[in-house]
Amino acid sequence: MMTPIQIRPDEALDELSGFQNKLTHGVQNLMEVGEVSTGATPREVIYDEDKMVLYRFQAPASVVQNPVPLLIVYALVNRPYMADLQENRSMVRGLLDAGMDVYLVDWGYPGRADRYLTIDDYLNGYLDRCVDVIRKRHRVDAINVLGICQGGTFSLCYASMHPDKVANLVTMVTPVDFQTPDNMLSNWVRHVDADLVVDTLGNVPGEMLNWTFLNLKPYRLMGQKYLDMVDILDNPDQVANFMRMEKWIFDSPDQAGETYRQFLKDFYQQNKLVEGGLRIGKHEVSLKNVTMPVLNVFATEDHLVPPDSSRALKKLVGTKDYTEQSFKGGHIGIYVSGRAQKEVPPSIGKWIDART
Amino acid sequence: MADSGSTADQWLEAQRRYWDAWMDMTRRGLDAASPGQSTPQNPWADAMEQWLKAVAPATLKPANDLLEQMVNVGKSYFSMAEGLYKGAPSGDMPEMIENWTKMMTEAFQGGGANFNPFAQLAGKSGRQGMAFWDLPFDTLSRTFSGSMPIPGDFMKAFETAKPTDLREQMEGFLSAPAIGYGRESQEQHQQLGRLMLDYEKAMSDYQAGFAHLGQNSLESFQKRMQTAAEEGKTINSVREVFNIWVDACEEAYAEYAMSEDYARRYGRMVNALMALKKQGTRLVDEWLEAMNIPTASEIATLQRRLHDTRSDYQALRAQVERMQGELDEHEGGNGEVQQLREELAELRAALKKQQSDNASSSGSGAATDDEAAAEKPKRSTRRSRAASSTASGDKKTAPTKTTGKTTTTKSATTKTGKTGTTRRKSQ
Repeated sequence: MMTPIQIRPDEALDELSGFQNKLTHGVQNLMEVGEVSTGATPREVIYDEDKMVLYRFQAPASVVQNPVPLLIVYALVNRPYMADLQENRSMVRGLLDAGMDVYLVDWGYPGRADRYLTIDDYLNGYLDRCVDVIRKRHRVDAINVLGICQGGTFSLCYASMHPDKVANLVTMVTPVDFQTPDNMLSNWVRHVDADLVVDTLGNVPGEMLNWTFLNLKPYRLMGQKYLDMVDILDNPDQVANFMRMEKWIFDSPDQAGETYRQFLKDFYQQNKLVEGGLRIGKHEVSLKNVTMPVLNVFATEDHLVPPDSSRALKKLVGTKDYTEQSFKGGHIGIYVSGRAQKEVPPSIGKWIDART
Repeated sequence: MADSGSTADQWLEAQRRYWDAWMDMTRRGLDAASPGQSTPQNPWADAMEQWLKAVAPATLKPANDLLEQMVNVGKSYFSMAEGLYKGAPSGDMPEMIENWTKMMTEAFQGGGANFNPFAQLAGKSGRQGMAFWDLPFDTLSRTFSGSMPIPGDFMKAFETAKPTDLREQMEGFLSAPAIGYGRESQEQHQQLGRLMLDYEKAMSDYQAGFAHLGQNSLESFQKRMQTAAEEGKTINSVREVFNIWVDACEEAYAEYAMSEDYARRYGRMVNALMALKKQGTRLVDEWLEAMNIPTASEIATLQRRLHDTRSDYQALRAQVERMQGELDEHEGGNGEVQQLREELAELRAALKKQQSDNASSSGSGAATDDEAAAEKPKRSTRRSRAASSTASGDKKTAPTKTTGKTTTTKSATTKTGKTGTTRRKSQ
């Protein structure tokens, strides 16, 4: 076989020596990283209940604000500071600059005493009360909602159950059809006995979910990534950025058992958002009830939520005002990449302003 | 392409110089490196290991973990470079790739059905450079050990014992019939044993599913090389080769991870682990109960009751808030009626006052004699009404007030009405 590899030994030596030098000298930067901070935008606590906290972010005084507030609903499986990771990587900051009055629900870390929290508790309890607090504060009947990842799925369910309280709905990297052929997570849990898992473990450990997510691309996420990291070791700022991201990746709350049970069975295994028959508490959930304007933003390279899983919303949703926006990037890049900062929040702001 | 003979010499010389330099550096103040150690088989990769041991105590977590991760991957990267050049002492590139591929194939096939990735992670297999390929298993043992009924890493028992031996021993124990006073307890422990065997088998099956993955990764790697050669592309760094190897591994892995075979093996493994853990919890509960210590199931019952009580409380709170709102609305309505009553009384008083004022002004002499004669009977009527009103104690509407005062009252009435409207909105 002809080989395209043309590496002279001295070049290989230089390359490996260079790598070793970077690693050796970069250790100093690693040692000086210290405590990794996250969350860049000033915020205040508006409402809290149990471990859930509702924040409002401080808007720049110079920006004219949209009168209808925007509530960000994040996933349960990771921490929401991904949306406000650092000064120059903050979707929240971008939305504030776009004139949005931004609130965010932080679900907190469920403890063992929270194992019986259901999706009904989260959506028709915590989330609904947050929405009511915001509505009351702003004296509006309905607010804007931005759901991210699993939070987007929850936002769709909430909007279906309380359409009168949601003026405009934005979903980001949101799974809707959980059984597209390229959905690796869905394939993995097909034969998992969700009842046995929850009855045995109570809450599902975040570490177990982490292992699952990392194993979607194990060679890249647990290998190549750290090799690439050596290349930036000489730059303290980039090292700090990397560490911040690492902190987020491994900061996975445990999942309340009953919520995990229903999510695994109804969404992943039975795909009820698509097939129908989803019940949350006393509500029958149908996406046909989502009649407010919807903006669906997805990432074309998303390995966690395949684009087709998000695109499925188009055919299921009841609204006549449906817009799709694709972002060329991955599941994480859509919040934190430089291009995302320039493209995503401004377009969301523009879309909402046009409907307010 | 470089000349074969001289290239090999250059490479060996370069390697020796680098190794010497590296050892010099590590000797300086790095006590962790063993002074009397003989030159290892993979000097660069092993040197990284030594270096990590030396610097790790000086770094803090999480930087320490990160450093370890970088060094581990770096070792795979270095091992690849070493493997490439060792595979072809002549320095001939096609030969290098061919020999490296052959070496990797043998390593993968050598693992066979008994391949144990956990031993890989523990560094017991001796298959240098293969740790990277084992990444899907990284953290698995640590993650799952947290779910074991027995503290510690239960899987370690299987690293040294032959699965067949273990199974035979266990089956002997499990086949004994449970009798006597402790029959139930014995049955519970036998059930635990059976579940352990089930889990061991499910985990072995799960791992065995990966057996062909290494070979598939190599085939994918070779295809990528072929494609690059056909397209006339050249690869000029070890790093590029490494990245292509990563892509090849990911492709082979993704293909398998999306298969029904993987889903079944994974499901069996997770379910077997959960069943084992559940049985372990049941036994622990029995011990705790015997010692009069709260059990997991008792705590779960309390947690359930607490949750239900909390749900009831939230529902009641919502109901109270709704009722409070309705009450406020109702009270707001009553307030409005009261306000209207007051306004009506003020209007009446104002009207009476105006009438009395008119009556007073008629008797002031401003009118002609004829007009005064015509007004006479009316004036007397008004006077009698005013006297009646004063007698009833309505001081506010005393006929002494001026016309200007009456106008002020009208204005206040309008403002009050507006205030009432605002209050209703805010409720």
